[in-house]
Amino acid sequence: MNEITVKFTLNGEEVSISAPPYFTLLRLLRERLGLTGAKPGCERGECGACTVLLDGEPVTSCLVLVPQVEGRRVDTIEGLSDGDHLHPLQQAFIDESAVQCGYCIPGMIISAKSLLDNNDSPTRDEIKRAISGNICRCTGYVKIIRAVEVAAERMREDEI
Amino acid sequence: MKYKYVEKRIPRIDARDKVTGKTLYSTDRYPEGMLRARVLRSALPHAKIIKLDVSKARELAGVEAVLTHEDVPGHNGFGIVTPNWPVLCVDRVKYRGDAIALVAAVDEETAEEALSLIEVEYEPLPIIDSPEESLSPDAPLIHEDGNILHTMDIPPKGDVEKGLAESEIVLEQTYKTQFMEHAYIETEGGVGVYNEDDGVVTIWCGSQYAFRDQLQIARSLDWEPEKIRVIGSPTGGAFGGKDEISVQIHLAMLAIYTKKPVRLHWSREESIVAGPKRHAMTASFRIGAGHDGVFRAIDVKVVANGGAYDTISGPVLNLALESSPGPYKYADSRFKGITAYTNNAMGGEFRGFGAPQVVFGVEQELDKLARKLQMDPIELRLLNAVEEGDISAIGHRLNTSAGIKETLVAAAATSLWKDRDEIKHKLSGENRYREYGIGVASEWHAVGMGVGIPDFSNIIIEIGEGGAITLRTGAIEMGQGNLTAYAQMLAEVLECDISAIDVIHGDTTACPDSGSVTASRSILVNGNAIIDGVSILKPILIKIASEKLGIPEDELEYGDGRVFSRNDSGIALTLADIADQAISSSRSLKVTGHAVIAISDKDFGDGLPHNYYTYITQIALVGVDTGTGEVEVIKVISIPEMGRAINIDGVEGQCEGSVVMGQGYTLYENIIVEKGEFKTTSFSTYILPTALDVPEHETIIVEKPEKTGPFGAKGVGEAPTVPIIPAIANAIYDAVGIRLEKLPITPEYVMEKLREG
Amino acid sequence: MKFNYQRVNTVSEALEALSGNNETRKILAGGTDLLVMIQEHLISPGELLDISGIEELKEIGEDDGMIRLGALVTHGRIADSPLLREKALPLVESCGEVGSPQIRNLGTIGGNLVMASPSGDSIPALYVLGAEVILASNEGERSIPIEEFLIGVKKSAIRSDELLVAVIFPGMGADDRGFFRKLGQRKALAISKVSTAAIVSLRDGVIASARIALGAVATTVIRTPRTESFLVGQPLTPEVISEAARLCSEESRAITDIRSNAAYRDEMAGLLLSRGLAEIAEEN
Repeated sequence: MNEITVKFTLNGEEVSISAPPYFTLLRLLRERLGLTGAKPGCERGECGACTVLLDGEPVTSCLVLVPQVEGRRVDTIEGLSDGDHLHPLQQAFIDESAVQCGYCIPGMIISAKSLLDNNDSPTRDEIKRAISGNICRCTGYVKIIRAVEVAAERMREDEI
Repeated sequence: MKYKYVEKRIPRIDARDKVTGKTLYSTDRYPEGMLRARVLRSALPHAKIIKLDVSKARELAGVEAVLTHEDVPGHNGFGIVTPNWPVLCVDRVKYRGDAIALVAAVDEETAEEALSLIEVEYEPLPIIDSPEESLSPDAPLIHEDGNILHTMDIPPKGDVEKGLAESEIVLEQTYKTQFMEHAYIETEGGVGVYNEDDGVVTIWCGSQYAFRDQLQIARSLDWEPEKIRVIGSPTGGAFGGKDEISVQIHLAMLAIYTKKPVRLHWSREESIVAGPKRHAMTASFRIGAGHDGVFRAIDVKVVANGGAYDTISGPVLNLALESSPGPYKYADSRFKGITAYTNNAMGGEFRGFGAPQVVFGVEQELDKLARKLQMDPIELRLLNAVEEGDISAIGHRLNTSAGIKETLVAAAATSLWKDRDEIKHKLSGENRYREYGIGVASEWHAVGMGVGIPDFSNIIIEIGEGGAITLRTGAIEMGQGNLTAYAQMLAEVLECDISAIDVIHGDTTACPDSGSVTASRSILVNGNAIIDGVSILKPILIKIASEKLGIPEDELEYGDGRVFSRNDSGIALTLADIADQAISSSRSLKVTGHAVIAISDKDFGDGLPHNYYTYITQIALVGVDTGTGEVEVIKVISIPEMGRAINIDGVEGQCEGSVVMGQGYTLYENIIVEKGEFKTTSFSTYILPTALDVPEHETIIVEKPEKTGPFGAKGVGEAPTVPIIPAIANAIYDAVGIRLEKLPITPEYVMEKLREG
Repeated sequence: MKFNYQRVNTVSEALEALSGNNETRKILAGGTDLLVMIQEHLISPGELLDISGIEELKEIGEDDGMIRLGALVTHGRIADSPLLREKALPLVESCGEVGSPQIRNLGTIGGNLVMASPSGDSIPALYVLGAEVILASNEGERSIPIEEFLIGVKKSAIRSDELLVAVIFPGMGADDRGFFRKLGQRKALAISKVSTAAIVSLRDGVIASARIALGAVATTVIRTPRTESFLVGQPLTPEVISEAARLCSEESRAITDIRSNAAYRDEMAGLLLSRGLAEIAEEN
């Protein structure tokens, strides 16, 4: 099968990469770009473990085909931290012990980032809604929700 | 006692890599030139294989291997207890998940196409859909030696019939539970690599016990275990479902055959259909008590659906029986169970291990009894609760810390319980469609493997250059926080900085055998092994320091991460100094710690009974929509007594996650299998709780240190999954006055019960 | 998952591509249903025609009281649109309950319509809004009332040379009150077991017109004509609401499947109506 080449912005860098057109963005990231932060959990859009930002909006990368990212912006968990400096969400997930097996966490943090990008003081219900497409089987979500609250607080303080 | 690391909130040592996406799970490995494997699964739930022709698949371009039962060199079966689960079926399939052939090809698409080219002809056999059918006298045999997978009769205590006859109140009820899916977000998967140079095959796979996987692979390959390396950690969730073989043997066969790296990662559907489930069970109870509320007699019968093969169904049934009376005293008791083979889903190991299925029922019976007696349900439980030293309902002496009373007292003191009428009243004013209820339930949950089953751990502690500390354990990090807890305990006894500790885990080559990560045992056994290791290490440190300092050993002491002179604490060597001294004299500072879990004074066989228990009480507040039947779990309080909390965040995390898993089981989750066919094969039909569905949660930790546990700890990985189930059911009764005898409690079921009145 | 792939960037390119006969071709919009169906081997198209990049199909517009939604407008944008919140509340409420944030960011209104699932959440809302579907082909455009467009389970009236380009409907007027309610197996990522959308016009406390649609209770979304006629001319009293609920349940024709059973769905169709109407009554 012929491969096609797509150009897009991945974590702030221009990339040009070839893959079969039937590859999903998830497979492209994992198998061709070596970024395994986005995880396959169901490959039906039902678990959220593969969540990435597409033009700033969270999407399940298992339901996006490679050619559809042409010219667009894709952000994954690998692009969230700035060198050793973690994103406040990442730090809060560590500090609040919101991580157990960790398999859902990259997708979870991406969904939470999209929320905080648009809303610096989310209510608890808004947080739950924002991560409602990310299934976690370990944590019961309690410390995850708390971590998002803590990250939002810290980000607000940093603004001031 | 004040600790530096234990009993604290310590962030996970592996969290940083997990939040940055750097952690490599087994299924994140993509070595150069890797093939993609797929498994051909049975098209029928029960059939003879008349013909199996893989020639067309083998001819397809890009296909590098098509393997069948003929390619299994050793024992064609696996199973933790009885290895009768075929690696690849020979002439018969017994459930829809049965594996018939393996394909490895250059890419996923070719592998999939190759599967479609394999020709299998079946002769359908009658499908046995339930244990009742399976056990009927004229049932066709699923296994040659009969359809009974396992039976267990715990030796009766007293005379249960007499006890029931003499009881002033006797309650009798049967409860049914469904198959439940582990639904770890990382499905079973991994990578196999065969190295022709040294003849070693390496398997990365999600696991709970790499060393047992190694032995099971060796048995099927007919290889020396030393030639098989299994790296089973970290894994993206396990919950009991990865203790058994999934991809391991298949990967080894394909990697050896093709001499290329091979990847096999089950789809979600495959994980649901082929992998083990929580057993569906029917549990019947007769409970006798006096008007004073004192329990007298309990008679329990459990029938379990084992599925097509054994795996670990026997011990699961045994623990269901052991768990069924709960942490209460009864003079007379009888516990009988049977597990039957069927052509349904595979019954297997799952967090709670048989307890959820029985505690769901028995704790509702106690709630009924309390209401009958007009007693507070916590008072009733307190009246009958066991203490350390008591003889349990199953007849063994409780030789370890038993804090059920303390958890009940703590429950009674919560505002949610004390002010429950006021809380329900206030909520009712806010939503006219709902009634509110608060329920309570308790459980004891066995820790460890039980009498007669090897229950040990070995760990290795090494101090290297610069004082770098390495802890090696065969234990798996599957999300429960093992690694952090081990580092905490090691830092505590070695009095060193936790950040100096590197934990290497779950690798049969790099680590010693620490036993399986199962049965809530890991803290207890590995903690004791760590303490043992440090107790061996300290004299060695003192000996080497003595050489370096020229001070006799008996004038030296270990403390605060250094060896110092008793006479002049200014004279001291750090771990780095001592390590350098050891290295310069070509010695290593490496010790092996060992521990064995103590056993009960009784032996009922097959792992019964246990010697350690976690005790727990949980309270649930629910709202029931009387128009739609929908149940919302609003708030839950978990009150575990786990001896000692090693990591407070970890204990809370286990409770919070367990409660939601229990909630899912209670309200939503159901693997539906009809005539052997799976009706729920994805996350759109198998319903897991989302963040919008889950309750607010509070953990109240009750500590009752156990003298033989590390820092007094026992374990807490499973217990909080269990009483939440009847706590929700009891809360629903409190809200709307209906008793729920089967799971899950769907809105449809609630409405049916409400209509019955 | 293996297929040929063609991407088009304008409607005319799409129509050109569609004019060639290709039995195994499927149109890819948001992909949230199509790619799942391919993964599950329910369909195996030989070619995907990807229209997801056609910018002209992503507009939300209003012209002289008529709302026009391009086929590629996502559920997420509908749920967040202030214009639609004012003019098409049932649609906003329904799109806000589709799947999850991730799915709402991908899935499109046109895709939801063409997939023609009886449990597609946007569809009952479009029924009560009186929507029409605009289909384009090389022969020109035609518009079909939504109730004629959807003809069966996963069956619509679209021809293989046609592209669904937009859905149009009159915005709700000042007297119109509407809602969408659904019951799923959980609160997010939930496929409806039953859903009810309604718009009633209230003049001087009396219902001047009523449109009700039920999802997931028949082979297509259905209207409930008897309930609607009963309501017209009535005030929203508890008695009227309860009779409407009873009639609505009677008109529901649900089946039993893996998610729920017929009796429950029928009863809930009416219950959801009664709760929505009760809320409207209280607000007025």
